[in-house]
Amino acid sequence: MSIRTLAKRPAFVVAVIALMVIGVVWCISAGRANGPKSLDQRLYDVTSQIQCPACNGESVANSSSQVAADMRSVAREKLLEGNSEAQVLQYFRNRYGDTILESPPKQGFTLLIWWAPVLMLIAGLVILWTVAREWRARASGDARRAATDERGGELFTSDERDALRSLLRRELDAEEGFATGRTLASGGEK
Amino acid sequence: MHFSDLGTICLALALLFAVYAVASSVLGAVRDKPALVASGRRATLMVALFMVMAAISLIASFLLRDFAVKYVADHSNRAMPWYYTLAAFYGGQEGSLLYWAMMLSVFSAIAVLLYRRAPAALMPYVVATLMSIELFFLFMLNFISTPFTRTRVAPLDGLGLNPVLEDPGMLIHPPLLLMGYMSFSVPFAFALAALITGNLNSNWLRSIRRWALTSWTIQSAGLLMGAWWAYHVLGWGGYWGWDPVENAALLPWLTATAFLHSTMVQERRGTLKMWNLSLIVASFLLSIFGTFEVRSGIISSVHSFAYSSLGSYFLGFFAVALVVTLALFVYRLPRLRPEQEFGAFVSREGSFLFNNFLLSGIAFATFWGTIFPIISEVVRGQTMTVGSQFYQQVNGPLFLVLLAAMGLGPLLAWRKAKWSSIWHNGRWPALAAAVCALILPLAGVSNIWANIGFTVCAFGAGTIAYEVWRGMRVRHGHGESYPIAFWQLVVRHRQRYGGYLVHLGLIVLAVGVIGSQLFQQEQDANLHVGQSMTLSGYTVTFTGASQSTTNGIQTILAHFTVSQQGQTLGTIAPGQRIFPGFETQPTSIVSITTYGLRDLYVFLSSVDGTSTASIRIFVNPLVSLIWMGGLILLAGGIFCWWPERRRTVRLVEASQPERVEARV
Repeated sequence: MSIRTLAKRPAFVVAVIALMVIGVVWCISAGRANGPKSLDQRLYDVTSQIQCPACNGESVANSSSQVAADMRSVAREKLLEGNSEAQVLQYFRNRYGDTILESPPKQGFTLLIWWAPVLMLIAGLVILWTVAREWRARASGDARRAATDERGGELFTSDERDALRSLLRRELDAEEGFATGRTLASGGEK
Repeated sequence: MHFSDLGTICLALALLFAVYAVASSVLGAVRDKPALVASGRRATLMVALFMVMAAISLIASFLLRDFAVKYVADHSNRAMPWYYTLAAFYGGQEGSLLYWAMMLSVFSAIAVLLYRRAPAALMPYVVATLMSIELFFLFMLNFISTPFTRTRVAPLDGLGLNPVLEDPGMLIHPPLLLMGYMSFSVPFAFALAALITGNLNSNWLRSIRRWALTSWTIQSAGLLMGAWWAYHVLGWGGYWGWDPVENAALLPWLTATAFLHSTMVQERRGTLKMWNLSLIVASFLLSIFGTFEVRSGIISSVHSFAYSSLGSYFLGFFAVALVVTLALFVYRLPRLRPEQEFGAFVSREGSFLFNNFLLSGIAFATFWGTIFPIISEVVRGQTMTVGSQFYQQVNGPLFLVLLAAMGLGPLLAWRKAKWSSIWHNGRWPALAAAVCALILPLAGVSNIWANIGFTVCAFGAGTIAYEVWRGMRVRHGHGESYPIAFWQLVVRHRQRYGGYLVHLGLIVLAVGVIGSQLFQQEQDANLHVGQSMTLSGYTVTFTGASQSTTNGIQTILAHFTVSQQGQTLGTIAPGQRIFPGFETQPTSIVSITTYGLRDLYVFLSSVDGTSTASIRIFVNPLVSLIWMGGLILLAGGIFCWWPERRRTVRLVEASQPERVEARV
């Protein structure tokens, strides 16, 4: 179906307008998103990247231990002194070593952790695509066989479709019949 | 004789019966002797009986305060109320293994009783697989890690439970999660039996799916309970920290979710057999990984109180299970060919494939992040942690795409979706999304990520509403009033509308997650009596601290009044509890007050005398939606799972007056 014939359908027009509205709103909000961050936000950004040295698997931002509270106030002071978030993070890395980082840095060996999921996703997409294409190639050859398959579902001849449709109508009528008690006996078989 | 002796005997007998059940089931199936198979089933029931008795023995030892039993002395004391004493049953390693094995034996017995007539060829192997798993746990319980070891001299009092665990959450979360882990064994047993017998038609699919749905629902409940507990106890204002143990619990949930979707493709189109089997096997192996990871101590976690040295045994079991299934897969590969062919990418089955792709992607990233510290340690000798930053950055976008796909998928037809019908069906959800995208900035929410997230949620919700409306309209056209049309629609198609209910729950949950992740406000403060602080319009004033001791437990409370724009809203009292014997580990009493959709979350860090309190205060918007969405999701799971009512004469008669009335 070409775009021109689609454009005559109101459903298509409504959907496209809706999508366009969404697109425009997102673009505008994305353009405005670069406003200055508040101190609390910057503090959270830094401290959530540092691991609390006294706890198991909690970041300085999240931990409720005293050490974490002290580290938060140090980070706050550093930010107030005019340091950037990266500088404050580097300060903690210099003092405690790389093990203080909450997640591995995106450099060297630990790049592996960041890239492996991405590579797996790409590999997954490729596999999905090739497998589905292979299936589809076979499907076009087997279309006729599938049509006679009893589990074919939708691929019926028009005669079969009519037969099924009348069966459906009869069943719906029968269901209506329950209300008047007409087909009680047939309902009892099940 | 003590109850612990009874427990030891029961464990030994259970072991013997489990060995017999495996042997007689396999022999009976191979030699085609139904009597042996039946005997194997009955042995399974005996295993369940003895395991329940063993569990009762341990509980009795706890309640009778038999501190000569080492496990009881290590995990309870006289000061503990009876319900925590009861919960201490699974509070340690030996007990949780016993609980796991007991639940597995009970589930096996249920499977045996439910499938008395059904797929006869499968059952012996289902029983054999279940009892083999049970055997591993019984081996551990009998020889490696027995809960019934007695000491010669009983101590006067026990050591008590870790205070963090003395919380109402302890009564529900661990048993649910352990039960969830355990329950993945049943679909796995059916999958393995299908592979062994080569009986790979849609019969076993139906048996498996119900069990997989059961496991999924239990695991969902366990995860939600865990999140709720973390939120109420840990005091960092969050509910999910991507802790290794949390991840381990999420992994089988993800693969089971993938299975519940891709199984529909197999049912309708006869494809994806191999993939579905892999997902079931993966769910089981991941649940073993989860059970083992908590115990191995190889990864540091907030759950490290469960540390032990059983890792190598679990690793061995894991390896055996993996090798056996892989071998069976290779052996049965020729029979796993698809019966029918795949249509187009843009179709319902295509959307299920995409759903599976995303869920496996999330599962891989989560698994990878969880085990990466081990890899790093082995390869580079360098310890490191992988924290929530990694998961948020990798999984966050994947979850968002998954949400969008959840909205789009139900709009696509099977085989091949026509573009015109996609536009036709998609216009209302798209309109709902557009309205949401427009209203948010007008309402003052300018964050782009919030807008994207909420808009995607609105689209998904629009799809569900449209689908229900469409179904109702068709039935209404046949003369049913709208309420009856709705009821008939959902009751007649439980799978489908239960699924939509789960989707709706997930959407509500996602709104809660997005809101609380993006708009959480947080501040630390040191307050003297009379001083106050303000966060997001809520003013908190410190009025003093109090101290009390009951049953040896010291409770410190800091009292605050909460006001908004000069109007007093009430008082709150966050605090700390110090348990005897655990003086260095005070547990926190977090104060959470919900105002509308916002939670005021106050954590007391420390009190200096009665004059100064240091607190952390959070304002968490929309967190209550997470619990609400969770409840909807569970309701949906149960609704799908609920057995279809057989239409009988009695039922027809019963529904008759109501329907006549409706017509009048």
